Amino acid sequence: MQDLYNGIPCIYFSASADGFITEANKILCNYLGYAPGELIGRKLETIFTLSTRIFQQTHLYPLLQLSGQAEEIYITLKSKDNADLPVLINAERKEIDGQIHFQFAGIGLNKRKKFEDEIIAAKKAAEKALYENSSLKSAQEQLQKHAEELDTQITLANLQNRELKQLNHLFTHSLQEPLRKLLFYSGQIVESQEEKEIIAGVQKIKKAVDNMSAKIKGLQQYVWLTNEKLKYEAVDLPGIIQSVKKELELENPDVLIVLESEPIPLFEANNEQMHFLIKEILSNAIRFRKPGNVVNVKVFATTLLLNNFRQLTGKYKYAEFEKLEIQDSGIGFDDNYQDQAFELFRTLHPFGGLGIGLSFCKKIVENHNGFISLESQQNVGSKVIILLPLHRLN
Amino acid sequence: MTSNEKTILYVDDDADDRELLWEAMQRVAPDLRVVFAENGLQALELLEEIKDAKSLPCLIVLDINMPYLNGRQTFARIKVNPKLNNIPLVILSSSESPADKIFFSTEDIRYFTKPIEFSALEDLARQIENLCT
Repeated sequence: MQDLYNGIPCIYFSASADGFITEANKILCNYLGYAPGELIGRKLETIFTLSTRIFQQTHLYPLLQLSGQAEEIYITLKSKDNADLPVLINAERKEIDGQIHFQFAGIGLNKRKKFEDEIIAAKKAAEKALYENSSLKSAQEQLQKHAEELDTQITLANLQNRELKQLNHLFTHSLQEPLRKLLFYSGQIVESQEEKEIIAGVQKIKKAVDNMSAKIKGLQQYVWLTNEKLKYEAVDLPGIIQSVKKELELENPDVLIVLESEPIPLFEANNEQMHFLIKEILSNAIRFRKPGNVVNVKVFATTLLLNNFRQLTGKYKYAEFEKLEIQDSGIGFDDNYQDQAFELFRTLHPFGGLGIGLSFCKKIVENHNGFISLESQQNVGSKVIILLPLHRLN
Repeated sequence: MTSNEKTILYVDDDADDRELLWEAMQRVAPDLRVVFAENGLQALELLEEIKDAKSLPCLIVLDINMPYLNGRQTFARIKVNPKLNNIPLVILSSSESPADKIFFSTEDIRYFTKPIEFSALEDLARQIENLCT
């Protein structure tokens, strides 16, 4: 019998009803650090930890008394050197020769505990790596966001710098010119003896005042376009084009606008400013038409993807843009000088008005993070090319 | 422009200023012909059309703030053009910009500010006549 339980590959021990160890196999002795046979006759407390003893009294023995057996009980045994060693046991209550015996068989879980600890450590390491990876990802996202903000700020700074130059030109030249003429012609009137000269002088003064008044009004509109916080909504550009066409035909009853347009999808923009933009462009088509009363306008539309990074090289974030090409068949101009066409109060045509319209168009398009350019050929016509994001860009 | 009469070329986009200088020149130096260009580009085209060197203007009066080619750009092109760079040139501008004044001063170009009185304009016309040798 002793050989039998010594030969089985698991822990085995038995105890009498009064708690003395009657059998203990080699595997148990090895596991607990005792010599074979050393445990025989000792109290179970020798190998039971305090918690196991409590468990034995409160759960294990009552269970064995009740059902005769207990399975998969996790307890902790105490080694010879007082180390806690976990075991998983099955227990049975048996009556042999009228004596009650308790038999215990099980397996040591020390290695399993070690494996479990390793698994837990590995899990913790994996969680840490995942956390670090997500931290890295989060840092990358933050970096990308900051790069986008930086790019936007550089673009904005460049725009503001250009505007400052234009305002400098406005105050040192565009608004000074009518003032100088006021002084000049009023002086002439004071010195003049002839009624004809006085009338001519007054007319010149009126012209200078009108010019200055129109420039101030234009400046107010420009400031409005600069300061206005944009309210974005779904914009129906074909609807706006038709509406502007009707307005302009009412304002210019002698002019016939012949309009052809490709389908344009809805996009997010400010409705009011889009109306303003289209009106300026179509007004220019009327103002700079060839002799005659017919104004031909064609609108081409294409959706494309553009890198939204404007300043930083090597950075990419693509967004959908609508490319609009608004082509007229007017007198055109030398487009080598197209940059000047977008300057505030700069007119390239001798009869081109105040030079406000296209600078407003540029402002509106830039308010929407878009681009505008011109292609023009004298006596052939002009094409305004506008790229506007389909969805609002932050 | 013909070789028989002295001509000045006045380059200015402002129609009022062109008219005023013409009027002042008429009073002060009626024999001096005044030809106009509305900007630097037009002036250069006009000068390039003149094949006979004797028909070139005796003086170019150049404004600064103009579309297409401004005064500085026009001057830069004239300066490198061997056919044109011997023509005397003066600036007539309302610009009080120190940068403009310094630029033309370093180029040894006389700089006149547009007057605000007709009598001062007539004085300027006399100086222009004197420069047109």
